[in-house]
Amino acid sequence: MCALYLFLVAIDSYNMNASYFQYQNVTVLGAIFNRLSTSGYYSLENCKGAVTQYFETYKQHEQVFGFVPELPSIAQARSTSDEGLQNLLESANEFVSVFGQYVDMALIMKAAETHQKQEVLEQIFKKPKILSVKPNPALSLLPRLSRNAIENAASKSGASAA
Amino acid sequence: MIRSCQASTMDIDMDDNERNDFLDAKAAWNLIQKETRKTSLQVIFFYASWNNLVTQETPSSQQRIELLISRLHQMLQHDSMQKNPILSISNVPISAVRVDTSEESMDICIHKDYFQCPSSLPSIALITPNLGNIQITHCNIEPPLLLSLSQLSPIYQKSLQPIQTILTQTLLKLSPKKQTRTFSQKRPMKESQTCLRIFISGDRSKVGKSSVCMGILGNLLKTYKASELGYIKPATQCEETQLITKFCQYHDIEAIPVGPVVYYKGFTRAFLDGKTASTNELLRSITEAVDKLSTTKKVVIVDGVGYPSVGSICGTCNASVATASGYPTREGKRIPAPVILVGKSGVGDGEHFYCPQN
Repeated sequence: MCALYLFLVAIDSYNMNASYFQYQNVTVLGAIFNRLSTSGYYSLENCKGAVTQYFETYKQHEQVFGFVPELPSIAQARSTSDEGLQNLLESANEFVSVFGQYVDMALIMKAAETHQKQEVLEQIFKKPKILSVKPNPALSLLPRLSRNAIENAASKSGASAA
Repeated sequence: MIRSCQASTMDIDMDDNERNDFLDAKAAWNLIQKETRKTSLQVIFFYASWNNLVTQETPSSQQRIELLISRLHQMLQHDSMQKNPILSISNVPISAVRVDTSEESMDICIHKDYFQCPSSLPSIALITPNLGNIQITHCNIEPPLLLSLSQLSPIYQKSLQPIQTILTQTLLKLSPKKQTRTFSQKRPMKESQTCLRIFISGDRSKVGKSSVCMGILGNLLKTYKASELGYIKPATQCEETQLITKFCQYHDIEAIPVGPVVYYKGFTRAFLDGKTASTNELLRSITEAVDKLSTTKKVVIVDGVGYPSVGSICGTCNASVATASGYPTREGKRIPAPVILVGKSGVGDGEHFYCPQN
């Protein structure tokens, strides 16, 4: 299985779900990718590059606000009962701290405020958006890789065998 | 030719030769067809050359018409109508048409396709738009009514009542209906609109939507007071206390972590059987809850449920909930709260979508 395929899963999943909202005239500001592995081939850093590149290239009005690593403590806290409130809150605060490091909060607020100004204060009603992908002319100049070349490169980088 | 006290809307060009011949039924008809699209009610006074009270009272035709129209206004507006602005006829254009100006004018006035032929003259026609057509109601009047009202006997004054009744009914029918106040208009519009609303949705279940909400709120605490922030999960499948609830409680962030819509066991089947609140009622309860929370906040985070189409069987999918949670407009509509999608990528997701033959 190729890592690129996993990135595409994230992007395809995003596009499919975003189109659900956009079809109903609901604005999608962008995405936060959460619970990402912190190490290995499928790590946050590896996902970040490809997904960010995709959004920068093809999504003019939607943005990636951040990639948040999986925190074991917060995963555990989700299934913990009322006991150990102090521990839960510590986990929560740890998550908030990490979230602040990996997510661009200023960008979120700016996007939300811009939407509010444009859509609400001016009271402009949108028509449903038509999903389109604009080709990047710069990308067309790059050499194309064969499937074998891509799979080999992925395997050398540690991707699991299909 | 037509003359009116509402010169700006009804007056038409005419030269000096035409001033003595100020009645042209065809021009009146054409103008009425044009004006009826803009004006809610018009009044036309029909008379003929043999109605001496109209044609011979003053030496100038211009003065005669002005006096006549002034009296028509006086006639039609009784005291009780003056107190109600809706029933005021001061802005209703009144025109005068002499039926026997020419043969063509006669034809138009007595032909049922035009003015629908008053049964006797003088007569008043109320012209009202009716579903794109023109509706004409004729009211015959006694010639002495055209004298100054102070000179009229009570009997004649009483004979005006049927005309005034019809006029009152028409004005009431055409008056703009009172707008019913709805839930979205009860609260101050400005405050509800100023509060920033962000809807957090997942591209699938268990991606950590509530954690992301907590991350956003926790970081907003650096720039906002806790009292300026709000959290709501307006539709949920889970009623257990979540970490974000405890987090909000600890930081004094006002939170509505459960509902008002809860997809409890058996809910959807009961919904299909019509045994629960309707879609509109469910969405309205969401709107009310979000609006109420937003009134005193600067930022409200709205937490979605599952993946985008969860709840669609009840008409309360995440897109509908985002719309119900949206900003109110002065027209009573909603601009949906903008969405941030929470996604997740990794081996597990890849395997889920993986096609073995590849």
